[in-house]
Amino acid sequence: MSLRISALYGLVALAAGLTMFGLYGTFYWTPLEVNEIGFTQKIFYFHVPMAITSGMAFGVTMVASILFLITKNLKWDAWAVVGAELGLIFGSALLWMGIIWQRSTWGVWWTWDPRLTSFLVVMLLYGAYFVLRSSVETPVQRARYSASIGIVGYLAVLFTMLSTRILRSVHPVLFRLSDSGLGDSSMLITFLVAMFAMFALLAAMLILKTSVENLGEELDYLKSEIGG
Amino acid sequence: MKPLRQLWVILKKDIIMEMRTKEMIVSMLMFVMLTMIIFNYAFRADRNDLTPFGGGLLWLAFIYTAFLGMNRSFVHEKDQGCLEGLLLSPVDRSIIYVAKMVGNLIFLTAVELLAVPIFTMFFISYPYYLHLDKLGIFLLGLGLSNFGIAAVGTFVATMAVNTQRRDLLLPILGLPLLMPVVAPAVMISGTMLSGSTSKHELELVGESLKILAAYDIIFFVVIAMIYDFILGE
Amino acid sequence: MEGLPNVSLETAIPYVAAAYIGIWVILFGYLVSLSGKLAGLRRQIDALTDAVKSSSTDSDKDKAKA
Repeated sequence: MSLRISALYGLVALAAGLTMFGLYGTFYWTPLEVNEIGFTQKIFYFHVPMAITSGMAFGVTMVASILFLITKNLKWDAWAVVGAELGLIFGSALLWMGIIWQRSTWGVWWTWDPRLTSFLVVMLLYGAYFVLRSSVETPVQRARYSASIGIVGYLAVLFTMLSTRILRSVHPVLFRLSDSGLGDSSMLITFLVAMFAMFALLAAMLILKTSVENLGEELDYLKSEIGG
Repeated sequence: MKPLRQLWVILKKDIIMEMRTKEMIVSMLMFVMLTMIIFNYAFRADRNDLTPFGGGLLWLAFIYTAFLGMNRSFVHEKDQGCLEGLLLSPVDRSIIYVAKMVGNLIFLTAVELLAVPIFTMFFISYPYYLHLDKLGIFLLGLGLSNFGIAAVGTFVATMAVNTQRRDLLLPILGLPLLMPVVAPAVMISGTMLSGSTSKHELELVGESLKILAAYDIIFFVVIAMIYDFILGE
Repeated sequence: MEGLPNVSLETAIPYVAAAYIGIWVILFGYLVSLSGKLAGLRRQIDALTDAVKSSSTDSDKDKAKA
């Protein structure tokens, strides 16, 4: 437990430090983008890392779901829930940034852009994951059901992205690393720092949230001890 | 040969029951027609022509009627204790899944084949999709989409019926899982209904068919593998 | 990338500010609520552990008496 706590503090400190540096890079270091979209381009230094992070969180859910079905250990069920919840948290932040950016650029709050549409579907899917969990009472059955949705759901996410891609996207692709869409090296470094900041934040939240889940279980156990 | 026989026995039971009561097909069809009446209000269709929106409207009606039917198919099993009987019998779980899925697929397809002509009569000014070169693609799109809907819907319905929320859970959980089917399905049906000859759109139809086929195969296999876990001991 | 209008700096600043403030409110709000939950759970567990301990020592005493 103490190792867990020190890892947690380390990660929080790392996330805070990297975030500070990332914000500094975003607003003071990187040049103002003047050719295409101007100042609102600053949003993307954290927008894209957040998208990747939320995808990773849902990935945690999928991996933990597979591990649960193989091992039948409820520990993995806890990890799966945590992944889904964190994916939704990062996803909300991502959607918020995206909506604000659209409003600033196109003057509308929402466009039915394929990427946006599929992300909305993904958010609703993982929302339904929690509805499912709350409708099953026995822990083992709940874990089995949500694990199967954790796996099938992730496949559906991949397919949603793919199938909406067949329509042409209006979503800007700003960070094509292959053809160096990040013209200035300060842009690339800031982007990477922001990405690692979000990864560290995700890791810290994973540890914190799994501790909460574990303690909750411990509490239920103690209560049943006293009751019985 | 034995698994096929088991599959056929379970399937036959569902078909015979449906032939006797006609409960599922009739109520699904009525639901589709009621939805169409709302389309008429929504679009103030005094011109009788909703061809540009045809694909989307058709699938809006179909996907919900599919949920309606698939929920029914498990509520029966559960309430009459059939599911327990099936689980006690020495039949592989994935066979139960395939049998239930094929049953749902048949009923859904039957309802759609009845509903498409009605929809055409109501809202489509000229049935381009009946031309020979279009009809095959139209039906293929219908079939592939139905396969995906039945595969995922049967899986989610099995879970939903064993929870407290039952009917509520299937659309909430099933719809986001089936979005990758709905999008190409609308694309294919819409293009065939409008008789579009645009090269770009026909290319998209080709892509859509590929996506549907890939979805069907992958989801069917994965679900058949994990179905064991949701039926329980 | 085509069709992206160049938004002037003055109009862009409130949007960028809103975007960044919003995400930190979401992320750190969540982090703070989690630590609050953790602390609350730990308190409850400590209280319960004490209760269990004292009740078990009580029963030990009862046994000793008997």
